Amino acid sequence: MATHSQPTIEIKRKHSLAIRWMHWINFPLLFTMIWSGILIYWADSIPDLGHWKRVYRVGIGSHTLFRFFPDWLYSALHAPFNLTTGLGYHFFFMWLFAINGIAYVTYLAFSGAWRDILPGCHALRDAWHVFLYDLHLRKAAPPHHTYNAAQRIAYTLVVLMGAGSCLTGLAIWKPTSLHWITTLVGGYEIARWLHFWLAIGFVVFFLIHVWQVMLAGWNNFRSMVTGDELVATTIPVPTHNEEPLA
Amino acid sequence: MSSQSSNSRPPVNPDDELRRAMSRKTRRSFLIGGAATAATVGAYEWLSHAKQIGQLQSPLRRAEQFNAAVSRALFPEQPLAPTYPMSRSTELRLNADVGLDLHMVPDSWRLQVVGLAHPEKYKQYIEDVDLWEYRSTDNPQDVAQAPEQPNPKVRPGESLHDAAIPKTSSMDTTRTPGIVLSLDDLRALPFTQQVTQFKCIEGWSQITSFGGARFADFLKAYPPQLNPDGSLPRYVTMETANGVFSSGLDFATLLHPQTLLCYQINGRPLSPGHGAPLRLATPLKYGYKQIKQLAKITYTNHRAVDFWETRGYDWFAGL
Repeated sequence: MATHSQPTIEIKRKHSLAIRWMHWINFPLLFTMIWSGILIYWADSIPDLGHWKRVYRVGIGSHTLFRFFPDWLYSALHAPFNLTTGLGYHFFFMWLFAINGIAYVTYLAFSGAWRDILPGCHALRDAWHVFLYDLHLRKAAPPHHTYNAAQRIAYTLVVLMGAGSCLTGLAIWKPTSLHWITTLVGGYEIARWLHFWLAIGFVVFFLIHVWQVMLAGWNNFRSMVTGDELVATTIPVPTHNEEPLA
Repeated sequence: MSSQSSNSRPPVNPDDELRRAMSRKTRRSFLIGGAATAATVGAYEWLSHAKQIGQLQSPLRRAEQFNAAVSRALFPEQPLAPTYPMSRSTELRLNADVGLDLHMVPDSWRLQVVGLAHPEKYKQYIEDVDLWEYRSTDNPQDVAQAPEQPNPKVRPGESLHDAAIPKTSSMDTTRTPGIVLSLDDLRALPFTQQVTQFKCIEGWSQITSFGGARFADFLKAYPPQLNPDGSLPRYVTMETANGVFSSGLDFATLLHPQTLLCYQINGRPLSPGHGAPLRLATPLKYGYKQIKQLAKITYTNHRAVDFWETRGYDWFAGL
């Protein structure tokens, strides 16, 4: 008899077409920037060739825990020792990376989608709850609207990191023509140092991001491709709490 | 979709319909995504296998030329690079000796200048600069005589071309009239000392003091042959004595007040490894353009492909 029964689920738009394209386009662009960056960095980190040292390290005081990068990493990545290839790709893809980033920020600003991403006043406390929930130390799912507080912090931070990479990149690329930018970020050596650690930051972001996407499941991943999520609907009035229903 | 008309069929669960709609959408989106991924992979394959110009894929080479054009357009008048107090100057690292003759007899060194307006009016004029003989102490006969006043052997037809610079445009019989300058000639130009940051394309950098003559002052003393429209020639090609290493530069760089024909580092004459007796020093370019043991300067409209450009590096290399 239930020919006209109400549906219990609904298709709900989560990501706009523009966000999805820019998100996925950014993936190969960021990958290329990091990969070519590794090739460039390598040219300055070969003790055998009389180069000073592996320049950047993790350590306490004079005690070094880790130097970037150990040889096993280069061989594990099958990276070619080829500075000119690295430079060639880096100075080509930098435009695409910057344009995509500027387009993304512009879109966020004009579409109002920035409201989904900017952290609120209690973002840090809420993010802590998300963290506890992820580690199964907290039962109740933290509140979220499109993104939870931890996501908001991460997605805002990664935009700032992109801007920082562009700024320090300019400081390294044109340290004479744009010496005021180089001075602004603390000089050429500091600019290189920041640029390097921002790249490491992107890698860390990427790893956490992929881990979180795997935790969130298919319905969430699919929404970044289709734009839509299947969510439970509450009759008659839909609330703001959209729990994913895979 | 029209379930209301048929009583024989089981009622349709509206959730199933939504799930089916979502499946269709998913299929469509993933097909588009798959096509975009395939196109991206194809584009990367094309790029990595593109025809190479000077050991670099041509699209990447064109991107470097585009970047150079952007730099020239944005910074037609390049600002002064920051300078530092002498106390921050360090001993510049020795990094490469391509094209250097570390055993060159100092007195046999001259700076050949080609493309001058009126080379014959200078007392240092010779009919063919390529016949200038640079001597090396590795050669026993040079050790024996170490002449205080070496003379160029200007008689055409003599076989002194062993160490001569290979020429790209001229035929063997063509003479290259010009002048050959001694280091004293360059010391006669106003002396400039600057403490700037030297940057290597490999990534490292060093604050170092460079002393010598501004290229702009050199240009005033030894002006080039102007083009018919009265403009400067577009480029300068700089070469080592054996022609192995070369560096091409544009006049925007050369006229900059911080571009030096450098004969001192940290107040001392250049060591052989740093390119004694003369090198280029400029904070506008990476080190690989700052030629060491400079022996020949050619004013030209021809942008010569220089040493590192043939090995995959950017010709412009502007900082």
